[in-house]
Amino acid sequence: MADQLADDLITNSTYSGEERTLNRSKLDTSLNNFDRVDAGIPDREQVNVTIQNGTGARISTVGDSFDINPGGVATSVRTFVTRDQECADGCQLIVRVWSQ
Amino acid sequence: MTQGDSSRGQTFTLEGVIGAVLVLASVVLALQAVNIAPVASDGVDSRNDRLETRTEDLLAAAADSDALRTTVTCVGPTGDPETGLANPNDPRTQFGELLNQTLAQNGDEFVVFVEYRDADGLARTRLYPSGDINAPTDAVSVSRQVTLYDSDPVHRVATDSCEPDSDGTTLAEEDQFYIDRSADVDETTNLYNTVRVRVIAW
Repeated sequence: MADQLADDLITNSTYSGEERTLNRSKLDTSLNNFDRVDAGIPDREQVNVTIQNGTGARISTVGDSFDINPGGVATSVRTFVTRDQECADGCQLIVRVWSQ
Repeated sequence: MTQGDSSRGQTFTLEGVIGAVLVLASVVLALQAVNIAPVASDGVDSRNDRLETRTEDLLAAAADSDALRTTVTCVGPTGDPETGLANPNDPRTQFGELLNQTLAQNGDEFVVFVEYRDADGLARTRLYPSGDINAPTDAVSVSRQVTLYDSDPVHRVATDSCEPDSDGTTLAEEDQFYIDRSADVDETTNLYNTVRVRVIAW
C-alpha cells in the first residue's frame, strides 16, 4: 500500500518524458489535496507522507502524525529531484502506513 | 429410561460432536481466507529492496538531467575518467550530488562503474572509489543505459565540475577518449556507442 501510494505520487507529478524530475507545483497540489479515501487507504490504517532533503531536514508533511514510531510501519522511500533549488540535488518522498 | 430414549440420546450426542467439528472447520477455513500478512517487514531482503529502489531512482533522476552522459564523457588530459569522478564528497556532476544526497547521506557504501564494449569484449572502468574495495555478496546491482553519439561534447575535469571542452571537441573528434566508437555501428550514423552506468551498493 505504501509502495503503491509513493509510486502514484511520483508518477503523477513528473514532467513529460522524465522519470524522477518532479513538477513541484503538481507535487504540492497532490499533497495539499491528499485524500485518504482517494488514495485507497482503509479507515483502520494511518498514513503519513513526508518530503525531506538528503540531510533529513523535513520540507513538508501531510496525513496522520508520525512523531512517535508506532511500530509495524510499512515504509516506502522514493528519491526524486525538482527544478527548483530546494530539491535540485535530491529529496526523498517517504510514505508510511500503519494500523491504528 | 427405555431403549428408544437411550438410542435417541446417543444420536443427539453424535449430532453435537459433528456440529462442533463443522464449526471448528469453518473457523479454520475463515482464518485461512483472511489476509493476516504483516503491513511491514524488516530484515536484509526489505533493506536491499529499499536500497535497490533508491539506487534506481537516483540513476533515473541523473538520466533526466543528462548527468550520466556528462559523467561518462568527462575525462582528464589522458582521455581517461578519474576514479573519483563520482565521488559524493567532491561531486563534479549532478550524478555525484545525487549519490551524496541519497546513498552517502544514508550511510550506504557503493561502487560506480561504466561498462561498454570495445574490441576485446566487455570493458569496465571504475568511476568511484579509487582504492581497493570488495562488495559483499548480497550487494544490490543497478544499471542504466546511456547512448553516446558522435556529436556529444567531450567534457573536461575541472576543479569542481565537468565542463564541455573549450574547443568544442566531440566524441568522434577525440582521439584519446577511453571508450572507442563501436565497431558494430554503421559509420554513416551518429551513434557512437552504448554504455551502462552500474552502481553496486550495500
